[in-house]
Amino acid sequence: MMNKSDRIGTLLFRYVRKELTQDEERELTAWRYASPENESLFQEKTDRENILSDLAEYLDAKDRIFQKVKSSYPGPWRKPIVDRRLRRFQILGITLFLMVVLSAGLYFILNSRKTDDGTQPGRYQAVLVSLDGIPRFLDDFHRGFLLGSEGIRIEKMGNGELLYIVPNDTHAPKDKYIMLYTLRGGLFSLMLPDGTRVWLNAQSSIKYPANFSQDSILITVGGETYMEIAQRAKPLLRINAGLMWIESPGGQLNILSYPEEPTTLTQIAGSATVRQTPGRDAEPAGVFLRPSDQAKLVKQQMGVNLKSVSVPPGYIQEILAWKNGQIFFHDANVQAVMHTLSRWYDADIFYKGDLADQKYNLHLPNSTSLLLVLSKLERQGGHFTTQGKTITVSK
Amino acid sequence: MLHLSEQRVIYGFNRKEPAAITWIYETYHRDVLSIVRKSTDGSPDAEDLVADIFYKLIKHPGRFERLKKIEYFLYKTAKNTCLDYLKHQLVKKLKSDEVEKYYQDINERELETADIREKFDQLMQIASAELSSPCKQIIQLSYAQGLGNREIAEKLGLSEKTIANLKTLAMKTLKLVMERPGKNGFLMFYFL
Repeated sequence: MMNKSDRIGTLLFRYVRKELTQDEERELTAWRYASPENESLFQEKTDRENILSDLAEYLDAKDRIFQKVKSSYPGPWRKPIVDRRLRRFQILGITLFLMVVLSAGLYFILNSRKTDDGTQPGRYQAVLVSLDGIPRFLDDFHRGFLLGSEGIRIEKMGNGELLYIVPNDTHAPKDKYIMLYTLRGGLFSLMLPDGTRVWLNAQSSIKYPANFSQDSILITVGGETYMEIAQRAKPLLRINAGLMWIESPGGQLNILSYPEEPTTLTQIAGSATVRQTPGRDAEPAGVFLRPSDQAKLVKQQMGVNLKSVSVPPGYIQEILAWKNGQIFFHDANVQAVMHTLSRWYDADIFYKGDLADQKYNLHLPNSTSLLLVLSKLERQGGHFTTQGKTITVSK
Repeated sequence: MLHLSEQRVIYGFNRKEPAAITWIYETYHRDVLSIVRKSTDGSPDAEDLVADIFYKLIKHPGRFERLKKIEYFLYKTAKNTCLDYLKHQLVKKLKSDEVEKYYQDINERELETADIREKFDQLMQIASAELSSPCKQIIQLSYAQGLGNREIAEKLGLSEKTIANLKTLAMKTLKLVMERPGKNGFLMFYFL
């Protein structure tokens, strides 16, 4: 139950709003007549002008106080503006960042499409993995930088060929090896400290000792390499290619040891002795090769068999074509052609039809575009289409 | 006034959002002002004290879990602020026994009248919360600052007719010109 003052105050309020019931009106009238002060209070409070000016005074005071609160503690009212500005800057920053990233990405995508559409021939480039294990990309572009900062010497020959001069690190342990390899679409050449020159075809590798000052030098090669071995008595040079062990006192030889083809050694000049990798048994008898001799490891049911044949003189040119900057096929089947093209043009081959009977002949410089090479092949039979880095072979 | 849930208000107030602070002020300023006026016997510094109390509330570094805690904080702060103010005033002006005497002089009757006024004003002020901002502004300009319709029209960039219409609307909102008690009458009990 509210007290008397509250009751009268409420009745006055409801009176000015004309909300009183008859009983309430009687109650209010009784209060008014109780004293002259009551009557004057009634007159004062129910006057419309008084009500409105009191209300105006109240609203003014309310605003004034709130303004004082705001001015003595403006934080919350200033903050959202700063926040909004900050947010606008953040959005601007994010937008700019995305634009830069997207345009950079677009640039690289468009650029890579322009240059690497699978029709570009290979170039002189390789990866060198020194004793520190860090791979370094060797190509014409990095040549000056490598010479300046890493001390790696790469010579550029007249025909554009890059030659890496291998230093002899006499302080290096004798069992430490350095590796150099080429990727698909890459070609490289190097000169070992003993004067031996080595050419690496695409997707090939060579591993040689960091320290050449030892009695027996072991070199491991993969893929396709051509070597001009300096004439020597010592140190003895032993070359390991797949399951083939080669010893040569000097001469020129081409070693083909891609996994998809039988390991083949072709002696161009000088001599070499070839053995199968020593097994559990005693070292197998070696085969002595003279110029134009070819040794082949043919996989048979009973393991591998080392065969030696003599190569007709005309074929030597075909075998060495890659090293001389040429694409040369003579009566080659489609798989052999595609293996070569896949390595040189960094393309994947997809066979849709069987072209086993088809033989191809081709002789072009290796700077020829893939499309031209394929169109020349198509004239001899089959159908070749390219999409990106894929060549599709169909009948 | 904004209609916010208690949860929303508390969340916003703890994050010092202007809307939540405004809501708290709108809701509690009347009670705080009334307490301060009573405690300081209508001191002219009442408004400053109220501003100070709300300033202390907003500046308060702690978090409030419920509206009741904010209420409690406000009333406690109002009491302490007024006590400090009175102590200060006493030292400055009056001797304590003079204050005692002053309070004894106010007779019962005057106290009752004051309470009636306060109740009436309180109800009217609550009702005024329903007024739109332009209506409030016009009431303030015409009654607190004594401006005529033409001056208000110039000040607000509105036509005199609009001002007159807004005044009528304000009266209607306050239900001061209603001929018959409407069914809205019972709504007022809700406020009581």
